[in-house]
Amino acid sequence: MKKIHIDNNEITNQDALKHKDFGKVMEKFGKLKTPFYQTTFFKVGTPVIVAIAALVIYQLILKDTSTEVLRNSSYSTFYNSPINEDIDFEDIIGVVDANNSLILSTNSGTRITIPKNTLVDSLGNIITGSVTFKYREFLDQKDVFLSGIPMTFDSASVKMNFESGGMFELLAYQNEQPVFIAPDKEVKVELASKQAGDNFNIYYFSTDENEWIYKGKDNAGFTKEAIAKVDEKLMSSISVDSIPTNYLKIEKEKVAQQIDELKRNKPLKPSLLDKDSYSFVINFEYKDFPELAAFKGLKFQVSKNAKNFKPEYANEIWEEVNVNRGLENKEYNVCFTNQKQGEVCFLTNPVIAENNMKASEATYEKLLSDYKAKKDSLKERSKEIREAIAKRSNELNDLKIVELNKNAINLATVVENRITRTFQIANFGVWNSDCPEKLPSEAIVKAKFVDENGKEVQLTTMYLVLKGRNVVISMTPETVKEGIRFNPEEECMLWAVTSDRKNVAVFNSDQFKKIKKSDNSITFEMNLISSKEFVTYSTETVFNL
Amino acid sequence: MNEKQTYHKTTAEIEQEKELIIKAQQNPQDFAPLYDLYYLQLFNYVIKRVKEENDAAEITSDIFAKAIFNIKKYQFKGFPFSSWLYRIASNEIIDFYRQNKFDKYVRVSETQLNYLIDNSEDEINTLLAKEEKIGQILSSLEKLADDEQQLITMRFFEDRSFKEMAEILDSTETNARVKTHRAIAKVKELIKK
Repeated sequence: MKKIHIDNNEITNQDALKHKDFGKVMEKFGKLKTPFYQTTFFKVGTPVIVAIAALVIYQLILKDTSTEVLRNSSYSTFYNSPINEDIDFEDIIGVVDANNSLILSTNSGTRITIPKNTLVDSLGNIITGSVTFKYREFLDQKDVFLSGIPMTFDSASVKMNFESGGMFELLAYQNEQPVFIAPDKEVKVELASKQAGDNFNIYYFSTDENEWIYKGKDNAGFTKEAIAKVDEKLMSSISVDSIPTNYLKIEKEKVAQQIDELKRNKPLKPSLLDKDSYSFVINFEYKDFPELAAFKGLKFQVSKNAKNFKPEYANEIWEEVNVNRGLENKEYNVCFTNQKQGEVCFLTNPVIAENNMKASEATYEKLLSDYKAKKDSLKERSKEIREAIAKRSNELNDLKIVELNKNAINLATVVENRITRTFQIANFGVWNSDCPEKLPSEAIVKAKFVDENGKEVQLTTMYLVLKGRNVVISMTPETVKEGIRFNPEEECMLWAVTSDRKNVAVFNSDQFKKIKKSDNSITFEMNLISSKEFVTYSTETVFNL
Repeated sequence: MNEKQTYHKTTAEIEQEKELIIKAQQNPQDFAPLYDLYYLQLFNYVIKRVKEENDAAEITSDIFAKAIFNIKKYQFKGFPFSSWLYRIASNEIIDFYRQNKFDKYVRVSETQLNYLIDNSEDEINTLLAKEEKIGQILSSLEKLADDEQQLITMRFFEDRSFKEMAEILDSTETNARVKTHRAIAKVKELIKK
């Protein structure tokens, strides 16, 4: 705890200046210096020197063109989709001519303007003719997740994470060889973004340094106040009636409850009575425990975990009996009461005698098949609702941006339902309109991950996804081991990849909301979706899983 | 001392500062003018958060040593250079308390506490008799989380604007404003109890 100390004798400037000593600072700085053998130069330098030596020899022996400019012969990328499902590049072929600018449009409405005499080959020569531009964009959380592009940023040795206003990758090739932007030139990219905010800067991802480089301020977007005003206006307008969304959300909740109820009543596979254990029969209504419906001639066998059972209870006459589900599967807590003993409770397991097994198994198979059919039908209905909500949500976001753009009189190019963010780029590669922010630390929970059947799942990279803002925070298994850090005031989800990379495991925001700040550990029941199916979902659909 | 004096700068001053930064990026010895410029601000920031003057002096030298060490990574992002230094300072203070198991400490004068009382308007003033106020507020402030205390310290004891706080905390102005108001609301709640 911090002690607040009242001190009316403030430290004066003279007092403070007594400690001023730049020499001491330099001495401390000297001690901070990295020893030579640990420097990047030493680690990277040796192979580089060898490579340079080889190159010089190559130049001397095989070539006599000493004026060549050495450039990258290919674009290097260090990021991969965590599920091997990369976002495809869109190929745009343009003809570069020496006298005119070239303007290209992508399918999403982004415009790329290449001024004349801007593109050069690897030797630095201006090129003309047909050029293939490879373009792809990462506009929301799902795109960022699929890209595998790191979203962390080091600010004064503090690890930050980006909130993205829109990110794209632009590469260019002529005759399958990469082409570059001349050193003194720039290409203009007017990105059709989905994010309306005005709180972003522009960054370039340097593949040499594997880190983001700040390039300037992004002047696009609208203030939070302007966005809130438009949201309010849209919500109150009859044309954008929010009732369908509310109705769908109620429906979604209802179906989720039905699925939970169904899962609770999933038929249990009959188990055989153990003749060496104590068992007894209770007259009870199957409708109270539908999961036991297949148990013909049901008996309760005293569990091996029962602590309070005494064999002499068999001789007692009991006045009342209560059965409740135990914590584990196939575990029931039975409580008997009479005046002499009071209440005695112990754990039991449901079993049947061998002569009832065949009939019980047949019933179980039928009940299980009915259960699966009902579950599939509810899941299908749930998917339809999620997609309808996603569609509605997208429509509302589009309408919001259309409305905001009505005020954007200064924007030269306005794609109706997109915010135009303009980048002047001096390199091909990945560019991002971003706002760095601190990693969440408001709450932390230790985590265990299971699938819907309660079976533990092994997950590799995990992402904390914020629904309300375009933020995807990656977590390594080591950081997850320490605990998942999050801000309970944000709408959070977890997206993770199973160790075989075949599935994406999702923990939805409704479940996340139930985690309390005071919880120390949580078992996350993850919804496993095959990676191939995940890719087909829109971001809004994933948000509503 | 007032740390605010050199925080707000004219465009010309910012340009001049940028030149100093570029020079320091090329040669660590050239950091000296920046040290002269920011020494008092940073020392004063630290002394409000640690008890001993000698500890504050050591931490301040560590802050500048780290700043020189990292200056090559510094990129101008439209914020004053001092906000970058304050962030290093904040981390150094956290490290200081991590390494030494002292109770955390905030130095505040009675005048500054009165400023907090005056600016919290209504409840605090009406809830308590004058003589009870300071004691109650001190004990409430001590119950706040570190980040909440940090906000109140910056706003009321260091008289910083929300914009300035946002830049130092690398947050948004609205966020700084909302969180400070929440911290004040919490103080009021604690007093009511």
